[in-house]
Amino acid sequence: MSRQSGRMAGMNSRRKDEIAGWLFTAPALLMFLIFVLIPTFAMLYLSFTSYKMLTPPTFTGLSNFIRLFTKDSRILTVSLNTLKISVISVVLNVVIGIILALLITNRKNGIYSYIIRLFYFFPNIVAPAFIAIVWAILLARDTGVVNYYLHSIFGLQPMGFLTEGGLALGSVIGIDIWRNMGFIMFILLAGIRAIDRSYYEAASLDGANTFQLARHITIPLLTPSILLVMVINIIGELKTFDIPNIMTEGGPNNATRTVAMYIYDTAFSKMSMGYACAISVLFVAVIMVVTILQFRLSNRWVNYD
Amino acid sequence: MTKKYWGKAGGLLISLLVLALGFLVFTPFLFMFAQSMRMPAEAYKMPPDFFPTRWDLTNYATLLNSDLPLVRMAVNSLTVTLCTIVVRLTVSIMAAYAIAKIRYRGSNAVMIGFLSSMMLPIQATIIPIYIMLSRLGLVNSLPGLVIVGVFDSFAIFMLRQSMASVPDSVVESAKIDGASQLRICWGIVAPMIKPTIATMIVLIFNGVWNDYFLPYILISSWEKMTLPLGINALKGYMGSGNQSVILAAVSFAVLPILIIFLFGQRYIVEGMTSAAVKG
Repeated sequence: MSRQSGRMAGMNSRRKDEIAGWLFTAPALLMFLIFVLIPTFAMLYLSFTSYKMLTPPTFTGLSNFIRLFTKDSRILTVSLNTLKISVISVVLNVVIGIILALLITNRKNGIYSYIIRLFYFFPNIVAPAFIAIVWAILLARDTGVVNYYLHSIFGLQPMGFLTEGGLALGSVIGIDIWRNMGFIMFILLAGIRAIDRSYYEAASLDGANTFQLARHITIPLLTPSILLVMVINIIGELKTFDIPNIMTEGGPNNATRTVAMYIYDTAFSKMSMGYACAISVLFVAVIMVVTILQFRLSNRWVNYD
Repeated sequence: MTKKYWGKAGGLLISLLVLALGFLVFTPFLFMFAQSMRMPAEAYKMPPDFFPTRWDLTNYATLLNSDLPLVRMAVNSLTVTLCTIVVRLTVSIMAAYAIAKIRYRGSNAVMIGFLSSMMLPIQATIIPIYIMLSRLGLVNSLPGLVIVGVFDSFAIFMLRQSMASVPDSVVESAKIDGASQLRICWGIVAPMIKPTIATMIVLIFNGVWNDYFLPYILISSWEKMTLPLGINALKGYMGSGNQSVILAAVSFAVLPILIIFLFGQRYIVEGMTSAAVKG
């Protein structure tokens, strides 16, 4: 009898827990439903329609996608721009990050670390929207500081850092490298400092020099964090919008327009919501592939540890 | 002996080089601040300033006395950021607690569903979100900005990971003492993961305070703009003739962040980098 009532009480509290669990999750679930799930299905649906917001969407089958893959030459340009920005900035950032982290890994002086963190990390916490304003002024063709110094020190003629196609894309990439340098450097620095000292001691006894230590111990052991940092940053870079939107407005002649900017432009300037959703579907597909890659890598990373 | 001596000198030289390069990395901010002190008439005079040649706040006064609601924008930024932090954290802590500690039937599926939303960047789903908000009358309003930012799968995931390290026995014994789930969540488990919560506050602050994309899409009137959007709109409004005034506006927005960073930088850097690695 008492055993039975005990079980009853247990079941009762179990049921109460079930209800509490769902109640606790309900606000997050509701927001997830309204701002993630419904928009995703709406995006999928609208990608098969023609929709200008003033009249209801009309179903047009695959025509948006046919246009996207066969008739739209801009999608190729903006995809290549986005890809170049992501890959070049992340690869260079990792190379620079490894070098900087290796150079200061043994400097643990408090004041030195403080100043290094201030100089290198601060660009990462300032809004890209402000960074774009400052760099647009620095890089201006005729009035910019960069051209002034290039002329007075190297005698170079003023360059259109924001107005010539290749240079403009290069400027966007350069600013991204400048912004993320500290972030990547400090992640890798933590990775290097977590490596067991005994590896180095053993190798030093065998007569390995500093370069050999870096080449044969630090970098191989750091590979998992390098891969992880690359994938995280590539996802961030694929979404690039603020800096080119403010600095060059995608110009000159689409040379710095990214996929996110193209979606915005198609949806809100041209009011082709349906077509913009088709581009978004493609965009999500790419992000998905990279994210799945990230999960694979981070699983492996955790196992290594 | 000599080798060791050279090794030490080389090490010092390298440290100084890294420091010098760091200074170069930081110069755009020095330029921004020093130029904001120049009179508009001499804004383009070369060479530029990297340190203020005189402490002249005329440009700041011009901005604050103009019709442009710069202070209002700062208040908007602060309001949206603080509201998002409070609401997002409350919602995320509750969900994380339920998934990590109540473990109701279906909680794993819920977490997987939440995580899958990481693959759906806001830049892709913004069109339906915009349409929905305009139907609800939440376009061009600060509550609209906050509500879009309530759900954050990354925050829920990080908090859940952290709560998983709290022993189940703590929760069980509190239950035996008759504590409700609400009380265990807020009174016992949440205080035990304070460091993670602090990291999340830093990350959310940084993300929302710096956000340009969402306000750019949703906000259209001056008095509702946040700082990143508002200062860029101001730049367009004033044209390129007033470089020092624009740099004063940017300095006005960046200096408070610099001050916060000067005091809490160790914490901010560690929080941001460790969150990236764990996520």
